Amino acid sequence: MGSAPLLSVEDLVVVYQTPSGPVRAVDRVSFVLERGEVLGLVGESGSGKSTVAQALARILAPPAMITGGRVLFEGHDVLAMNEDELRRFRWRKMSFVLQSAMNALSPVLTIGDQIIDVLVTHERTSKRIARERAAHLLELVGIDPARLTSHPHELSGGMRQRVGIALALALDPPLVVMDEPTTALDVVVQHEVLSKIAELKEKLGLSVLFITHDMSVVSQFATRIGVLYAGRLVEMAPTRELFRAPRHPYTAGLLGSFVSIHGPRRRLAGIPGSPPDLRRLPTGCAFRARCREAAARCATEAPALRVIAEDHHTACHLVSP
Amino acid sequence: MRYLLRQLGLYVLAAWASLTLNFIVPRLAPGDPASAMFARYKGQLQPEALAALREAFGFTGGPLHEQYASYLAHLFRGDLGVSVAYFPAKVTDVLGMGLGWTALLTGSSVVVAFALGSLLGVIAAWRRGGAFDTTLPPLLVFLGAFPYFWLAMMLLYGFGFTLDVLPLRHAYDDTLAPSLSFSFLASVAEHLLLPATSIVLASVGGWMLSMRSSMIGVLAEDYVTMAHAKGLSPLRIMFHYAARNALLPNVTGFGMALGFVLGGSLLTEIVFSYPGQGYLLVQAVRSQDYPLMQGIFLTITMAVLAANFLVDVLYVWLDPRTRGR
Repeated sequence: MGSAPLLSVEDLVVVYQTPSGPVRAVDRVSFVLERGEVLGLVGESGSGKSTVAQALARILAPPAMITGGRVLFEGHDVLAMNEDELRRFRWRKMSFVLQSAMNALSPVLTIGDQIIDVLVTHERTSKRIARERAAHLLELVGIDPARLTSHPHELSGGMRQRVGIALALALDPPLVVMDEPTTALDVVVQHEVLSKIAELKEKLGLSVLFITHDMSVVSQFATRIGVLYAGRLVEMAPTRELFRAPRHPYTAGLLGSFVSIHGPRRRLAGIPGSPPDLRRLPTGCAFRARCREAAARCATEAPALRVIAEDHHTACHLVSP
Repeated sequence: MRYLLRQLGLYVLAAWASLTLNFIVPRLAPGDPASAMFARYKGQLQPEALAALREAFGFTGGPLHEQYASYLAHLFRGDLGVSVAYFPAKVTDVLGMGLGWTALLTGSSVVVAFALGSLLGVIAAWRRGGAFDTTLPPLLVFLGAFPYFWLAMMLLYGFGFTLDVLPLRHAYDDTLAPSLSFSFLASVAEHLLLPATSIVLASVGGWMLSMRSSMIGVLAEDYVTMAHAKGLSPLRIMFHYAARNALLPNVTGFGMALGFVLGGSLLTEIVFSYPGQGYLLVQAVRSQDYPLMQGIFLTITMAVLAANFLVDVLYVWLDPRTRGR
C-alpha cells in the first residue's frame, strides 16, 4: 500500500440529470495526487472543478451522479465503499474547505458545536475532551478559543474561513480539498488566509487539492496544476513548467489574462467568447470556437490528454511533443 | 434580551390599543348597549343587572375620560360584567368554562398537527421523489381540501356512531365529576380524540408542504453538503443541520395558528358539542350577549398577542441571529 499514490482518479465521469437530458459536467478526468503535494485544479465557472472535488468524497447531491471511473484513495476504491465505510472515510481521510465562507457553517449552531460534532462522531471522545481539542484547533488558525461559543454570524468572513480550515484539520486528515477557499474574501483577507494555509501545510505536512479560478492564487502554492475546460482536463504540468511554457491555447489564454507584478510590462489579453453550453458541446475539441489556431481536425476529433514532455500532459491536436 | 423587552413594550401598546377600541366602538353607536339589551330583554332582565352592565361597561353618564378610567379599572380587576345569555353568571365565569376546553382541544390539535406535519415534511424532503414523497403530500392535501367540519362529521359517524368505539359528544363523561383521577383524565382523552383528529387531519397537509419546501431549500445549502462531507450520520444531518434551519420560517405560521387557538374551532366544537369557546361565541351571538362577545373578543386578542410574543421568544431561542440586537 505504501507505493500507492495518496489519491488517484481514473476516467471520472459525472453526469447531471436534467429535464433536457444528461449533461456531462466531468468527462473522463484522470489525475494523481502524491503525498505532501499541493495539486491545483484551475478552471472557469462551470468547468466542473467543484464537481470533481465533491465527487471524490461522494458528497454530490442529486441530480449529479458519478457514472464512471475510479477514485482510489491509498489504494481503496472510494466509489465501491458502502455507506458505513464512506462515513468513516469522510473527513478522517479527506476533509473540505468549501467555497463560501458564509454558507459552509450552519447559522444556528455555534462554531464549537460544529467542530466538536466531527470529533465526537469519528473519535467517540467525550464532549469535554472534544471541546479542548476544538479550542486548540482555533488557536492553530489564530482565533481566540473563547470564540467557540460564537455563532457564524458573529465572525468576519476571514475568521469564518479560518474556522473552516480549523474544522478541516480536526481529524488530521492526509488530504484537504480546498474549493475556492478565498474567493468570497477581499484581497487583504485573502492574503491572510492563504498565508495561514501555507504555514499549516508546512507545519503539518498536508496534501492539498486546491481548486480555484484564480491562477495567481494557485501559483503561490501548487506543485502541479491541472487546467479544466468544459469538464475535461486540458493540460496538467508542474507549476513552473506550466507558467513558463503553457502548451494548450486555453492555458496560454488564462495565463495571458492576469496581471503579474514581476517581469516586463505587457498588454493583457483575454480569451474571446464564453465557455460552451455543456448541454450542446460541439463535436471535436470543446475549445475550438474560442481558439485562434483551430484547424480542421479540431472540429471532428476530440483531442485526448497526451504526454508531451516529462510530467506534462496536454489535450490539443496542435501540440507536438 | 433588549430585543425581547422592546417587543414586549410593543405588545403592551397593541393590547392597550385593542382595549381602547373595545371601549370606543360601542360608544360610537347610538344609545348604549346596556339599554339596548335591557329593551330587548324587557321583563327578563333585572334592573340590578342593567345597573351592573352599565357599571361594567363604564356607561356611568360621566365625561368620557371618567368612563374610560372606570372601564380600565374594571378590566384590571378582572370584571367583564354579567352575561346576558347565561344570566346572572359573570362573563369571566362563563369564559372560564369554555376557555380551558378550547385551549385543550385546539391547542393540542395545533401542536400535534404542526409537529407531525413538520416531521413528515422533513422526511419527504429528505427522500425527495421517493415513494413516501410522491404519495403522502397529495393524499394529505386531498384530506385538507375537505371542509374540516365535514371530516368531523364523517369521523363522528364512523367511529362514534357506526363502530361505537368513541364517545359522540361533550368533553368528558357526564357520570364523572371533574377531578385529577385517572378515570376522569382518561375520559377527557377519549372525548378529545375524535375532534382533535379531525382538526389535525385537515391541517397537517399544509404544515407538511411548507416544511417540505423550506427543507428542500435548506438541503441545497453549503452547510448541509459540509455536514455530509464531515461523515456525520444521516439522522444527525437531517435534524441537527437541515431541519433546525428549515424550521425557522415555519415558526411564524405556528405562532399565528397558536394565536387563533382561543377563537376555537367553531364548527368542530359544534359537531361534537364540545363545550369550548367557539360554542360560547355562537351562544353569545345568538342571544346578542354583548358582554360575553366582548369578553371573547378580549381573550382572543390577548391570545394572539401572547402567541406573537411567544414566537419572538422562540425565535431568539432557535435563531442566534436575532440575539444581541
